Amino acid sequence: MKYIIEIIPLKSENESLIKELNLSGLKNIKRVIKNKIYSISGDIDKNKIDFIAKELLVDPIVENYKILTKIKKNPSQTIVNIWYKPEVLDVVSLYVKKGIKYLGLEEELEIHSGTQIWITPKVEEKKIKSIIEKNFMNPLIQQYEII
Amino acid sequence: MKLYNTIDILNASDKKLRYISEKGLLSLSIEEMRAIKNYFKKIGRNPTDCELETIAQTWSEHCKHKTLTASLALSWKKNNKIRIKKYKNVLKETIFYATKKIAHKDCLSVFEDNAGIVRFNEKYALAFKVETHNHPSALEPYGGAATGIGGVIRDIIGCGLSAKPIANTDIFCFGDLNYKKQLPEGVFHPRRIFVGVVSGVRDYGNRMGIPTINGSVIFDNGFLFNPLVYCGCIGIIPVDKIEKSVSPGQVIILVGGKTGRDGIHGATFSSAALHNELPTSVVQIGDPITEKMFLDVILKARDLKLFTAITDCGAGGLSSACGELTKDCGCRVYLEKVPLKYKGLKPWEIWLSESQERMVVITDKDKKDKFLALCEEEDVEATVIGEVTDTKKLEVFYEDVKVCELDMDFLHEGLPKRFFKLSYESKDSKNKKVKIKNSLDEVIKKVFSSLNVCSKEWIIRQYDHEVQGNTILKPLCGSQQKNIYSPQDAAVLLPFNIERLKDEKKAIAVGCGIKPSLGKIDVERMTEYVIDEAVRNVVCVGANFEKIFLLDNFCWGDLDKENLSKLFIACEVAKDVAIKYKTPFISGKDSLNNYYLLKNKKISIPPTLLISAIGIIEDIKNIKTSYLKKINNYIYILGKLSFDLGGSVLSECLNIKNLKIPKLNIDFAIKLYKFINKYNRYFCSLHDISDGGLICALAEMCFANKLGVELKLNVRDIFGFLFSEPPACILAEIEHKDKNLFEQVLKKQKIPYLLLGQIKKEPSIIIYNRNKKLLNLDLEEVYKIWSGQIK
Repeated sequence: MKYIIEIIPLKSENESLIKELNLSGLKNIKRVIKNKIYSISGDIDKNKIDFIAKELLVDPIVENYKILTKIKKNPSQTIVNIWYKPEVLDVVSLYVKKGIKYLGLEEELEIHSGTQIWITPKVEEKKIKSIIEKNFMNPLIQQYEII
Repeated sequence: MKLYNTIDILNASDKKLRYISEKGLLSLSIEEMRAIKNYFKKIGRNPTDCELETIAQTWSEHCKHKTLTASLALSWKKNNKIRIKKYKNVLKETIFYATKKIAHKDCLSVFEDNAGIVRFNEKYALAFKVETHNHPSALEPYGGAATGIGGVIRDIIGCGLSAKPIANTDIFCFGDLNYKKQLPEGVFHPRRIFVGVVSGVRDYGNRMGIPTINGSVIFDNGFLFNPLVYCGCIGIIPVDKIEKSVSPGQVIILVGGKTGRDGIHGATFSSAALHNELPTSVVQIGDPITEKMFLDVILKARDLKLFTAITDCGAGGLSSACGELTKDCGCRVYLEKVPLKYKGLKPWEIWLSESQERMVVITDKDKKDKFLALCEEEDVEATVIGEVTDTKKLEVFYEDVKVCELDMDFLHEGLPKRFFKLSYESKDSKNKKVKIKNSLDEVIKKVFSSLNVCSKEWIIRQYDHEVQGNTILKPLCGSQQKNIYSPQDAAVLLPFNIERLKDEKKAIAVGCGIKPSLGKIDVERMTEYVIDEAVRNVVCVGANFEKIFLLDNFCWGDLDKENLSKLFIACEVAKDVAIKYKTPFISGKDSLNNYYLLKNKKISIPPTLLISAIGIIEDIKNIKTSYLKKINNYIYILGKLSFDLGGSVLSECLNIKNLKIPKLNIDFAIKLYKFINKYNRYFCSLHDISDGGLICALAEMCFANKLGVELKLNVRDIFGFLFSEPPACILAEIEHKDKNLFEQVLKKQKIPYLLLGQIKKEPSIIIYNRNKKLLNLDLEEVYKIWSGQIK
C-alpha cells in the first residue's frame, strides 16, 4: 500500500510565493501553498501511518497533516509534487526510516520525501513547467509530477 | 555484472587519447594521457576503467594543483624594466617559500595535512582550512554549499589525528540580486543561488553545532554564471595529536555514510567549464546528522588512541583517501566490503564515489575491534575495507578480482610537469581627474544602498554564531531592543569552555580580505589589498600582529595566457607582502577554470583572491569592538588617507573607470599595526576603512550606540576623502582625557594621523569643510537604507 502524507503549515508563505510567481510572469495568482510531503509504501495499515505522521513527521504547533492514498485532481488548482531523482540521496527519508525503527515499528518501508505546490487558480500545463523549474526545483537532481 | 572494462590506450593515437579523456570526463591533457600510455606500455597491458579513473582523480587540478605547481618563465615589465623570473615550481617558490622564509615558531604543520596547524598555547593548536565549492553550488546552490561546509569540516576532523571543529567561516561572491536580464537555460538567477547557498551553509553548520562566526559577501555581475562559495572551518587539537603514522600490517576502516553514485567525477569536474548538460552524479547532497555522529565517535577514539591516521573521503572518494594515506607503503582494498546505498554500482564507481560524510581511518589490528565496537555503540557505521601493505602498490579488488593495480610512485610522482612561458606588464595606475556631478547626498544614498556596503544582517542571522558558547566577539554588536547594530571587523573566539580553562587569557581572532573589484583592474593591487585587509581586520579586534597566520584561496577564470600570468603575479606579490608582514601562509586551495561556456564563448569570473587570517589575542582584555562608546571622545584616522577612488564602491556605483588605485605602503602598515598592538590601552574602539570608504566606516561605528560625530575638515577633494578605500587605514576612538597624551605618542612614533572630530549625542554625521557646513547626515535615515537592502 502507498500513502502520501501532506504536511500543511498553519501559516503559509502565500505572499512571498505569489510575489515570486509574479516575477516569473505568472499574474493573477491568488494562492500558493508549499507543503512537505512524504510517500510511504509497504505492508502497513493506515493507523500505523497515522502514528508515524503524528509522532515523527508533523510539528503540531505549526503544522497539520493529511493522509491520502491518492491525490485527487482539483479543477480549480494545479498541484505539483516534486521528488528527488532515484539516484540522489534523500537524506530526510533516511532519517524518517531510522525514526520509524526508533518508534518500534519493524515494517520494511520505502520512503521518499518531497515538496508539494498548490497553485490557485489552475495554471496551463505549458506554463507551469518553466515556473516550477525556475522557482521550486532543480531539474538536475529532482523530478516532478503535475496532478 | 562485468567488473571492469579495459580501455585500449596502447594503440591509441593522440586524437583517440583526447577523445578518451573528454568522453570519460577525465579532464586530462594530451601530455598527461601520453604519460599514462607510456606507463602502461612499460608494464605491457592496457588500463582498466578503475585504473584510468584513479589516475585522473589523483592528477586532477583539484588534488594536484598542477597549474600552480607548474614551471614558469615569466617576463615581468615594471617601471620600464624587464625582469625575467624562472620558477621550477611556482607554488613552492612563492607561497610556500614565504612560509619557509618567515619560519614562524608557531607553525606546527603547514601545507602537509588537510589543514594548516598553528600553536595556540603549550597544549593546544589550531587547525584552519578554507575550501571552495564553486561548481557544485552553481548547479545546486543548497546542496553544493551544504556539502562545501560539510567537506571543510571533515578536513578539520581529518587533520592530524582529528581536530574538534569550533567555528566556520563563509565568503560568497554572487551576481547582482536585482539582475533583470534573461539568463541562459540552466543558469539560476543570483537571488536563487544566494538564498540556496546561505540556507545550505546554515543548515549544515547549525545542525553540526558549529558556530559560523565570520564571512563576507560580494555582489558583482562577473559572478553571474559562476558564483564563488568559500567555506572555512577552524578546529582545536592537542599538540601531541598532530602527527599521523601509517605502517604495513595496519587495517583500513571506512567510517560514516554509505556509498552511492553521488559526486562521481567531482574532482575532475572541478577542472572543467560549466555548461548546461552535466550529469546528476556531479552533485552531492549533505547529511550533517551522520557527520555529527561520527565526529563525536572519532574524537572519543582519538583520545583512547584507537587509530594512528585519519583522512576524509573528499574529492576522489576512497581512491584519494586510501591512495594519499598509504602512498609511502601501499594498500589493498576490497570494494565488496564497502557498504552501499543501493545495488548495481560498478567497482570503479564505488572506488571513485564522492558520497559525503565518510572518513578513512587506519589502525593497528589489535585496536580494530575496540574501534568498531565504539562506533557500533554510537550507531555509526564502520567497516574494515582493506589493509596497509609494503608493496608500494595501490591494489583494489572486487570479490577476488583485481580491478586496479598501480605503482604508488607513478600515481603520485608520474604527473608530467607543466611549463608556461608568459609575460606580464605592471599597470601604470591612471590618475584620471574626475568631476563627480552628482550631489553628495545622492552619492551617499547610492553607496549605502549598494549591496557591497549594505548590512548583511539577514545572512548573519541565519547562522548560529554562538553555539558551543565560545564566541566572545560576534559579527554584529549593538542593541537587540533597539534593533540596531554595528558590524565588527573580525570575530573573536575563546576556544575552550571558559570554566574549564579560566587561567587561559588567550583568544583567537578570525577575519578575511576579498576585493574582486580590484582584481578586475590590477591583480598586484588586489593581492596587496586583500592581505592587508585580512591582517588589518584581526589587528583591529586585538590580535597580536606577530602572531597572524594566513590562508590563500585563488579563484580564477579561464586559464588563457593573460589570466595565467595574472595568477602567477598574484602569487609573487602575495609572497612579498607575507614575508614583509611576517605573516606565514599555513594552508590554501585554488579553484581555477571558473568560466561558463555560452555559445562557445568563455565568460570568466574576475580574478579573485580570498585571504583568511587567524590571529592570536594574547589577553582577552585587548579585544576591541568597532562601535563608538562615549560622547565627547575623539575620532582619529590612523594612517595615510588616500584620495584615489580606483576599485572603490563609489567608482562601481557611478560606473567611473580608469581611476588610480590606492597603494599599500608595507613598511608604514607594519609600523601602524605594531603601534596599535603596543598602545592598545588608548583605544575605545577601532574600525578599518574598507568598502564604502571613510563615510561608511564612520556611520557603522555610530550605529550601535546611536551616537553621531562632528567633523571639521580642510580638504579639497571631498569625494576622494570620504569614499576612497585605502589599505592600512584605521579609524580610532580615543578617550577625551587622553587626547594630548595620545597625540604625543603618535608624533613620537611617527604615525601619520588626522583628528577628524568629536563624538556627539545626536545620531548624525555633520561635516564642516573649510569652515563651511557641507553635510548633515541623519544616521537613523541612513540605517534604514543600509539595513534594508538584503531581506
